[in-house]
Amino acid sequence: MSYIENYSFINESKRTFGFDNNSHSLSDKETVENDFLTSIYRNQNYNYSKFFKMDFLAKNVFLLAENLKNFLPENRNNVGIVFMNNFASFEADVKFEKTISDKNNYFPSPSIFVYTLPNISTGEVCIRHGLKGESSFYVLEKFSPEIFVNIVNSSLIFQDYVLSGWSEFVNSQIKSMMFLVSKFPKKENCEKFDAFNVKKIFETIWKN
Amino acid sequence: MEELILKLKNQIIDTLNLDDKKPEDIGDDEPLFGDGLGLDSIDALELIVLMEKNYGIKLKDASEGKKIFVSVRVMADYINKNRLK
Amino acid sequence: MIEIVSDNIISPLGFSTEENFQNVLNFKSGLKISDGIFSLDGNFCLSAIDWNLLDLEFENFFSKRPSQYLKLEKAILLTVGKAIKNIDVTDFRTGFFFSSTKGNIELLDKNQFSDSRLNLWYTAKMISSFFNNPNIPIVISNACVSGLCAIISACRAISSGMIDKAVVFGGDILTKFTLSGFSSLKALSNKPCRPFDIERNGLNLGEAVSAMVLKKSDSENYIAGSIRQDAYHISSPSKTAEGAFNALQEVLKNIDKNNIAFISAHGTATIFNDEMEATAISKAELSEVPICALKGYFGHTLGAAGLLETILSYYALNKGVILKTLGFEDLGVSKKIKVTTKNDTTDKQYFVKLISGFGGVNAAAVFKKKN
Repeated sequence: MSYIENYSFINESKRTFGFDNNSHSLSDKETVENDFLTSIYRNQNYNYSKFFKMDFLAKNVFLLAENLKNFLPENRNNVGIVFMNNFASFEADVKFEKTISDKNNYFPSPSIFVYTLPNISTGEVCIRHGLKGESSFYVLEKFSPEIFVNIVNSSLIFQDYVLSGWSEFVNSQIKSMMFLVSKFPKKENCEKFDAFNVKKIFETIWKN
Repeated sequence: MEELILKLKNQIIDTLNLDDKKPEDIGDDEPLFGDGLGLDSIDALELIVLMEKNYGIKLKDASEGKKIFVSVRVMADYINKNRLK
Repeated sequence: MIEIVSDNIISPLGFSTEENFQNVLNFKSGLKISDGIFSLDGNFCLSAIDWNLLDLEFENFFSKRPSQYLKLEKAILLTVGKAIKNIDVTDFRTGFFFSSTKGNIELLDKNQFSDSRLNLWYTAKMISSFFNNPNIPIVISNACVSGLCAIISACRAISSGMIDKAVVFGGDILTKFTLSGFSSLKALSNKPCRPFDIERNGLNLGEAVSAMVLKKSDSENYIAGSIRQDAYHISSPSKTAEGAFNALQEVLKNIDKNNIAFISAHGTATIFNDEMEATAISKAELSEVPICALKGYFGHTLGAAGLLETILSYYALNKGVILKTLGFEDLGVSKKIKVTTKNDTTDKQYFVKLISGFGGVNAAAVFKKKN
């Protein structure tokens, strides 16, 4: 049995982000140069300068986890992260390609290259919060509540908590969510982490 | 030299994505690695690219870079003496 | 319990697991120095597939030319085809698991930014539907650990009762993209790599694909697997080998260390990786176990590494062989570990696969000889 302790979300098309039933909305003014993720960072006054070195995916996963950081247990040795998306590290791939495509201006960038692996995003969260459980990354075409729940539950056999999430690009805008899933629920009325409940939350976040 | 130091600080901020820093926040003699600016191994590699891209200076590897990337002033000094661009 | 039913490796050293093994046994390496590849200046030491040979082999096997397929696609179709042989994979109780770090990334160089084949899930789907499997294939992209993670994911799915059979497959090809990237990290050696050696100065990239079929069975070949984080740095391994040690500890819980034939290490021949692995192995009290690293034969095959090296090691275990670590001569790590300097024989039952990757990921798994 596993439980949803909390969940966080970012929906660029609705300009919203938050966790559980707390939703923030960003106005036009608060949106920095078409960069919704940085806008969230600034709006929340986060203080983690490494954020600016990250690629799009890493920023996405970082912000989702940041919204759940107060719910993480003290002991992080058995806390892991399993994340999935439908675009791997595409944005970083294109950026890196630009540094090598012109023979006469060939300067491959190491700091961009490191982000051309989607699991760097999950690695960054582990570094930030000291998570020493498992970190895994999967790439799927569409969100599947059943596959998501099965993979996460399989991972949870070997640890106590898993941050698990999904992110996708819909019309060049990011929609994403992350769950803090646990084996031993802290709260009384935790919803079960199953396909039905995950789908319910997914549909709430995703609907336009 | 002062002009080069300022230019270099801006390039460092830009290349290393130090978004919340301005040139005035970086001391000319402040250690770039370790305690000062706290740059890491990837930053060092990116600085190697910066040297070649902007100044035509080819450094062999990270350990050669270590001696040059001590502070902005040491970097600027080295660039002055070895630049090809 | 989970049995390894069949497997295949396609690399510069051959088109079957057996052929690859024979070449490794005879110290043949796929590594060659090439001058100016992908129009890049400088020498690179790489292990590259002969694509003309592969095309011929493909036509031989499928009775049609692979002209419509990209390099990685045709290589993977071939390795999966050979691994599956006559096994039925068309049912809902068979899952497909794909491991790759960059897939068809070469398309970016051809300016094809919106090509669907850039998506790893697209490649996986193309492969699974080619073999008429009705399920959504699972794509694992977890840096260099992907291959072993794919095996672990497949085994978890079998253990949980979701599926009875799994086809695990994957790989990566040499591209300007990857070569440029590793070059910018100054991680490459332009000579054949020297795993754990005092003279080691970097890794060599290699290309390969491989596939493995696993099934629920009374036989037990996959014993345990673990994936653990360093939580230290995105491209450097933990100085205390946090993740690798924890992964090892977990998989060795019920294993008699005296019955471990060898450890198939990651052994990329970078200063930091090999030192970290030695630390993990020493902390886990495995200093007396022979360590074999295969990258002197294949180079670092990224998404294929965890799978290929497991398959080859498993084959060696069943042949009662401990393979020599090509490129190793003098120990260059701070812990006294036993890196193999020659081929040897063994009648022990288990081997351990250890592997690490960018993003602080580490994985370990224990496999047991066939009955």
